[in-house]
Amino acid sequence: MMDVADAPTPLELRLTAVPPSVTEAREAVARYAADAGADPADVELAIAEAVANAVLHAFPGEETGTVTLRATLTADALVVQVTDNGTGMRPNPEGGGLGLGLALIGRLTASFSVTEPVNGGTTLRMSFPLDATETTDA
Amino acid sequence: MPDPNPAQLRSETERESVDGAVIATVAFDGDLDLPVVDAFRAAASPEGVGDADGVILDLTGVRFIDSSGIHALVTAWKALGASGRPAKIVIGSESNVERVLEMTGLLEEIGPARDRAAAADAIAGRG
Repeated sequence: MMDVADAPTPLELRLTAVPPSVTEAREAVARYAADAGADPADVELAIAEAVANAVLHAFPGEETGTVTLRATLTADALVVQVTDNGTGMRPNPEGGGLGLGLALIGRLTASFSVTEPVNGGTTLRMSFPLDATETTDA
Repeated sequence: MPDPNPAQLRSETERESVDGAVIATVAFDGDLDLPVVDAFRAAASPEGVGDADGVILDLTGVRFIDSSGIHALVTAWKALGASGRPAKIVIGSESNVERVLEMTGLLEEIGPARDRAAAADAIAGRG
């Protein structure tokens, strides 16, 4: 189990809700995850799904907005919050896709939650386990 | 204007004659996620592929794929078939693409081939 005192600085990103931000976000958080001892492949895919969800569904029509990410470490988990300032969780028949994003996130995370803050937008909070063998001192 | 396909996904199309049939192989290299799905669709579309009796979509060079990439892949595969160009998808064993297809429940439906030779055989009805 990792000593929280040795945890790296939290990662914070503030991105425009456009498709290239999906790539920027997943690569940055995957690197952070690898350093922290979480599975970078699982994290990378989950972050891609989360940010793509915001890009595709949070801002209907021609609007766009902001997606912020914050990755932090607890003693045994990597926790990533993805927050957008969009319209909140609602069906978007024009969004396209197969509707697989949240299902994949459910399979890739130890736990996740979706909330709508009172000031609007959506927050997706995901928890990924840390590899105990990576964090055990020799 | 920013490049809509900033070298994250490259594609190359080859044609060969197999038992008198023209097989077009579109090979992809890089990451297949939301920013590049339009470029993928263009390369894998019936119009992008052109005249062919069969199509191989080779994803062995794809390192990363998410659900937007999976959606584009499945849509292209079905569109090619509907256009009279039966298509076979090639993926690497134990690759990320295989993993995500399995997680989304689409691996069995797509029935990918392990290499281009097996894909060509399948298109020709020999596989």
